[in-house]
Amino acid sequence: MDRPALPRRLRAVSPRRIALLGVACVAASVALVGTALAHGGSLGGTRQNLSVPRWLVLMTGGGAVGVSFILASFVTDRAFVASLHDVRRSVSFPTRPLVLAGRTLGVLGLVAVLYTGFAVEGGPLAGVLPPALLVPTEPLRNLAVVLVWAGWWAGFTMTTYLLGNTWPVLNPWRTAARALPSLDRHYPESLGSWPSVVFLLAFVWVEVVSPLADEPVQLATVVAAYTAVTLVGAAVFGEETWFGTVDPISRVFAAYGRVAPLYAEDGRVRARLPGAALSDASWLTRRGDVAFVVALLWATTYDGFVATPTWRAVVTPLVEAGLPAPVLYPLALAVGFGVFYGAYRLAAKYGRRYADSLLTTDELARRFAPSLLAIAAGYHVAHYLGYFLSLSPSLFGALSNPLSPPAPALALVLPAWFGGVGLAFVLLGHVLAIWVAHTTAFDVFPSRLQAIRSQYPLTAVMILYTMTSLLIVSQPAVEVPYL
Amino acid sequence: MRGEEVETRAAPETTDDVFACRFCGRPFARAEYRALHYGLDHEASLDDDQRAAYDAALDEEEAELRKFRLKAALALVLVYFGFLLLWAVVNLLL
Ligand SMILES: [Zn+2]
Repeated sequence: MDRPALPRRLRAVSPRRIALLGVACVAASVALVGTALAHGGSLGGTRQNLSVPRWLVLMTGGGAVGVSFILASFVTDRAFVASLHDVRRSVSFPTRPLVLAGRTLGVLGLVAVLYTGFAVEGGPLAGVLPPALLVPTEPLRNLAVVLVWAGWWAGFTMTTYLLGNTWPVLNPWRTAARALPSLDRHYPESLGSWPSVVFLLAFVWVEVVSPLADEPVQLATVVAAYTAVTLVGAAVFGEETWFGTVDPISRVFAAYGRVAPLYAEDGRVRARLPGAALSDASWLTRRGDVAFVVALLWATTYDGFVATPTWRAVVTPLVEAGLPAPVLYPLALAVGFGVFYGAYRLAAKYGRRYADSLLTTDELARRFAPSLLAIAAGYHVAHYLGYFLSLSPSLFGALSNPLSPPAPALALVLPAWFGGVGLAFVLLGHVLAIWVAHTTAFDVFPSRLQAIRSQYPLTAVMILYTMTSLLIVSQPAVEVPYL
Repeated sequence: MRGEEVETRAAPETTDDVFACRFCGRPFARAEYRALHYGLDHEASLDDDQRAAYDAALDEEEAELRKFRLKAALALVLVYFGFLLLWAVVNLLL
């Protein structure tokens, strides 16, 4: 732990240091983008055709985030800042029938995924079932594949931060666990939330490297394995502990739900401004909780990053030099998480110094962590909205007739300007994050100058995150190499 | 610290010359911060001296904020024209 009270002299130095840090960030990303462009040229433009150089887009995006920080710092009326967060409306409607319907829907969805995953031609149920009850294997006509990837992983996730987190009700495993007896074993507190961090990263790794999006049987096998682990875990440690502390999927949706305008309280649905709840960090109590939020941000980024020409340019010489690709993918996942988490911890450490605060670095990291969720949500829209829309005809086709869905003749082709929507959402998420961090800082520090100064390093890190996201969103998506 | 839970306040060995809140114990590095904290979080239980200290700290904070706003406005102008210039140069060269 450092000596907290620094001499006032530091204040005179800090803006220059920040400027230096900013220049270093910009220089680093320009170098990175330069190589990306050099390699990307040969792959040809597929989706995005930017008429300006990519480094300029990245710098301007980073600049926009920096400017929004300066603009936010002009808003120093404490009463006004706090008032936006107290806007609450009660949306009264009966929730009990909805809960029942939601649980039924969730269980039906799980059964449908398991059935249409296993009951394909050549699958484990092919010999048992009459041919009329089998479903097609092609990914775009298989309900399990489109329901899991387009319907749930892309579409449902978007509803959790755009509307509200309905997963505690829909979650079929929770519904099942409720019906099962529980041993209520004591959960080892020393583990904290770290198991969920590891599970989330492992989940993303499996999603990226395995052919789960192409092979229904493998997908259903993974779903069945997850079902077994989850039900055993919930039975051993109790439903609340398992889904609240360990299960990465429930925690992802719970975290995204903090961004959403709708939430449930005392059996009623209530409304707030989107992002307004992010200045409240009381739901994060452990170090691992902060790491989980960072892991969520990185997981979404990694998912897009491995499909960029930049990643291909990085990975090709390494594979040619003899490094096996199956090692490179988890390695990049772990290193990237380390960089994101390290950068965030460093921002908290320096924020504490610039604010001359006697709170711990841990505490500051905890208080500002929810603002990262706005960034993660913005990036998730950028990454998945197009994916969801272009797959939606397949999804509705498979839903309307699971046994023999129509061939997806009508593929939705997105217009060229759609790439700009992604860029816009990345920026929107960051600007919201800047504002959330501003209001949080006003809540944490008694002096408003302390609050503003504490944000210098965090803003620098957010600019870095913006540029990383823009680097991915502004490139054409290519086949993930060497898998 | 219980289990993995986050410690809020700085460790005791670093808090030798701190200004601790009389009501909730929260430590501050400067007397002005504590004076502001008194006014913001414990307004109802202040005596006259503390109230006067709060008002003085608020005035000082407001003066510093004014100075900060000038610098921030300057930074805004610099960033804006910097980018304007950058875009102009890039468009000229391409
Ligand atoms: Zn106090």
